[in-house]
Amino acid sequence: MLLAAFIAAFLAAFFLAPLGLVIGRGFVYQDRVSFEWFQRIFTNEILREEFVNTLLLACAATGLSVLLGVPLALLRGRTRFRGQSLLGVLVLIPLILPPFVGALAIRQIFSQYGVLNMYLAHLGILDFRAAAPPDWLLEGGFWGVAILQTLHLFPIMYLNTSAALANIDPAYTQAARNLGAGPLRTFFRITLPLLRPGLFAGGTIVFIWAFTDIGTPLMLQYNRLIPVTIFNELKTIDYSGKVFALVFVLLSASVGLYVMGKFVFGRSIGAESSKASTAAETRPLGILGTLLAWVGFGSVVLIAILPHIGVVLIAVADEWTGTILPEAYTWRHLAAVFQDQATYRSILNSIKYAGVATAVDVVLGCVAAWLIVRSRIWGRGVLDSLAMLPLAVPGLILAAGYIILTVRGSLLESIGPLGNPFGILVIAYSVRRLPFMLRGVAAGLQQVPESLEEAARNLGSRPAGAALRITVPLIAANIIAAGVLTFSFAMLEVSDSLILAQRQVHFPITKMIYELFNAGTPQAVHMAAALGVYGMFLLGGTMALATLLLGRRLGAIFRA
Amino acid sequence: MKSPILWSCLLAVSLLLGACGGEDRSADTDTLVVLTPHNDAIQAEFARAFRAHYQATIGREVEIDWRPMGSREMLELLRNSYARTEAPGYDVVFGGGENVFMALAEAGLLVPADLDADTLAQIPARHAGQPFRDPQNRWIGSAVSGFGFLYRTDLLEMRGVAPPTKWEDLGAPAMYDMLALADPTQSGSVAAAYEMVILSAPTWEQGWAKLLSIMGNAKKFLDSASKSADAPRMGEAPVAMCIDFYGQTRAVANPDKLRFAVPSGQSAYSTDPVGVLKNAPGPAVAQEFVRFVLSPDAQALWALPKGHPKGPVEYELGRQPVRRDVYELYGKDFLPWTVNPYAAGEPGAGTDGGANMTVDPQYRLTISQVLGRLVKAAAIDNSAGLRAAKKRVLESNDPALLAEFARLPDNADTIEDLRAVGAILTDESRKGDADRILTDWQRFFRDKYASIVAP
Repeated sequence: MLLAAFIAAFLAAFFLAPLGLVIGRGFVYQDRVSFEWFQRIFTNEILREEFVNTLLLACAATGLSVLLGVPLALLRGRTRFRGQSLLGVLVLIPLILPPFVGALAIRQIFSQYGVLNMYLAHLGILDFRAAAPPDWLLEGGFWGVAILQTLHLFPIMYLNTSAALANIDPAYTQAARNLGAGPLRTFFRITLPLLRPGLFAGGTIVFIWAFTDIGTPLMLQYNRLIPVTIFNELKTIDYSGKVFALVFVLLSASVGLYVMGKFVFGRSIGAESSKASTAAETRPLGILGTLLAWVGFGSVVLIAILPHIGVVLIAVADEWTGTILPEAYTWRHLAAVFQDQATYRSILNSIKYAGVATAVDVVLGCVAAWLIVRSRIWGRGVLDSLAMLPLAVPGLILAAGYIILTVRGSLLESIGPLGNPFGILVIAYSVRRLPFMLRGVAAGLQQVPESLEEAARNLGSRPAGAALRITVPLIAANIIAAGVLTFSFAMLEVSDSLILAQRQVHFPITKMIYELFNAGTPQAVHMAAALGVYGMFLLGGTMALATLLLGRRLGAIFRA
Repeated sequence: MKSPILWSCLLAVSLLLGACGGEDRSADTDTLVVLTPHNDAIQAEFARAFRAHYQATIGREVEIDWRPMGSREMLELLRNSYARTEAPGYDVVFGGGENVFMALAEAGLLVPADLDADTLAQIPARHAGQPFRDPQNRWIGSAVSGFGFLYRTDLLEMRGVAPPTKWEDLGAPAMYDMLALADPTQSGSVAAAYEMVILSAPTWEQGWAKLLSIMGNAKKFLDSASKSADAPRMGEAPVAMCIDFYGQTRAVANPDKLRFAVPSGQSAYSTDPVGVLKNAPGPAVAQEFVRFVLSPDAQALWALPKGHPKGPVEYELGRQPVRRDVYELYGKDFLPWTVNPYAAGEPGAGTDGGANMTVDPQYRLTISQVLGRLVKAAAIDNSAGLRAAKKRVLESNDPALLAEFARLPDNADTIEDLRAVGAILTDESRKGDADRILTDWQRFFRDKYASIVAP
């Protein structure tokens, strides 16, 4: 009970309290409670337009992620072909690069006079002399941002769909087929409705992520979005109520859409809860089918890792202006990351922040999961919802709350962005990633029979002892995998890092990359890319480790 | 937030984290908190040199705590911070354009620098009308810059467009959709470049028409000066407006394809000052830092090449020092593109050289207080409308439409109006009014562009 109270208090202090502060601030105008700021927001066409843009962007990214992720998951889950496992791993590669780093490469490749158009001109398809070449990032880059977010996020959709697919009892589809339904009819009438909770789980993460992303739009310079406006206001420590009112609008929209989505799509269907009694029926593909599957998977993977390739090239390019590939290559920038005090320190800082945050999450996540799955204490449902809530609340909004929480003169000033943000970043990272940890551990707990623990207790062990000595070792793979993922996502966390780290000595990697983009020296862009390359290797390595440990159950972690 | 468990938990965690994150600071190390828009290269070289200088003269260690940020952001941060507390804990402001410093001095946030007569003799109070230091020495210029454009010679040649030589060339029909510009509310150097365009015209109205015509040709508005300077290199747009050393350092790296030019006689030299903040936690270190930045040795760092005994160690900074005597002391060793702003016959010495335009500093200050927000409303927040309207104006060739395109809001169409609006925009206690003005302007330009596109 004390444990539950502790976790609840932690979440109340560092999740609910900052949210409450943010919400409260929006309702204050000239020291009075007022709707003034909201009135101004809703009567401002520019902000209204930004709001619509933000909504459309999230819809576009979610829609595109479904279009990419679901067919791939079906292909992998319902057919058998050579190299299937390899492709299953390759498709996760996009997750290892925060899209805001990839945006650098996207600019180099898809700009009006960028690599792609240079290549098309080289092939004779375009003629720069005859007409201005097409600008692939289009006006303002809405689609550039949507596509980049999609390429990063579709694996989450894929993982969720795969996991949901694995849980569908093949008896249902067999029954439908036996009753004369064709494959298409079976898919739309049986499989798709059963997939709905999985689609919702993945869709929610993708939607909220895209809805409140600041990194990608900032890098592609598509700034007509509410989150970017909030970020720009927060940068100046401008605590006018307007920015917090905007935060409230964003939060309400994101929570409102989540609830609505849950109501419409997420209702669990009676049949879904029954675990598959037999393995799903898979269809072997012939040579042509295998080839097509490879082309399908392969082209998606290739397009998705284009930004990664671009970032690596920028990191090793000596000079890259107006040519298809860099004119000369160098190791200088990759080495300089470790020679330059500021960049080197940012790596150490990130390891420190992410490491402690992961430790906090492992403890909190394990205890919370155990309480929720195993104990019978009162209010564990509330605890579960509370711990999962950070998924629905974007980093940007929490960061705004932490800013108020640590404002000068407050109790927590010393750990605020202007003091040493170690504490506040650790808290931010751990609160944001707690749901991953909780889901990962809970998934493991549900698969370990409680009778083992009961046996230990019968033999005289205390409940805590039994959990530690029996259950924890059995779910170690889950804990490690979720921990590893928590660590790497914390390493490459964007919104909190950008807002909460304001002194260069405390910059984590992501903030350093962002600062380098703005640094002005010609080599800074290359240095930023080099830091991004190290980030990719780190996240790639940890993802590989997590995949090895969890296999297909990896999807369980990315669920709402 | 009432529960005692909650509070004790909050306190325990924060104490724990405070302890973990605490900085180890030894007793014989001084710290200096410096707010700066200067890039990482400048930070690294000045920190290294200042540490050595401090050790040699004071005999103690010193650590600089850099707070990098855009100059407008810095101004806002300082205004907000001092509005909330008397001593927010910052020592020095280093870089960011004299307008920022004039605003800080006017707000009473800077204290006079303690400088010897020799140093002051080497830094003129004014140059071509432009103030290089504050009469009370609350800020002193440390590096000098001109403004111009960076362009891709290969792309312009392919598109059959002549390289620009004047600001008005950027606004010409041939340049439509060719420019990468930046947001002046985010960067002081960008704001200064925009001011140069205005100042190069005889009146405010004509200056605005010129600037709007340029902005209408922009492909995009980026959020920092360096992003727009990188745009030609990355192929985003053939031409970018930028501060001289951003342009020069990039042009030197690829002289075959990139070229930087200052529009002859249309740009004034402007400085990046340094100043000590009010109630600085370390006033003595802060004063020492300012004296150091203005010393001949530190001044030479701006322009000497790497490897020179007095030069930078890791990065070439490529900027013009403010001290006259360092041009005589080290001028022959300076990086090749360094221009001596004090040299005789320098004014308007051509597209690669001098940038002297005589400026009325009071007029410039008036403009600078309003221009950023006006540009934000007219261009950044309405970029799609602006592009469409400009396109329509180019196609129609109708002088009436052009006049309508350049029309200003009623509260900003004369210099007297600008002064009145500027007073509101810079008043901390009138944030609500400032917000309303900006919203009105956004609406004004939005409606105007819409009516031009679809009359």
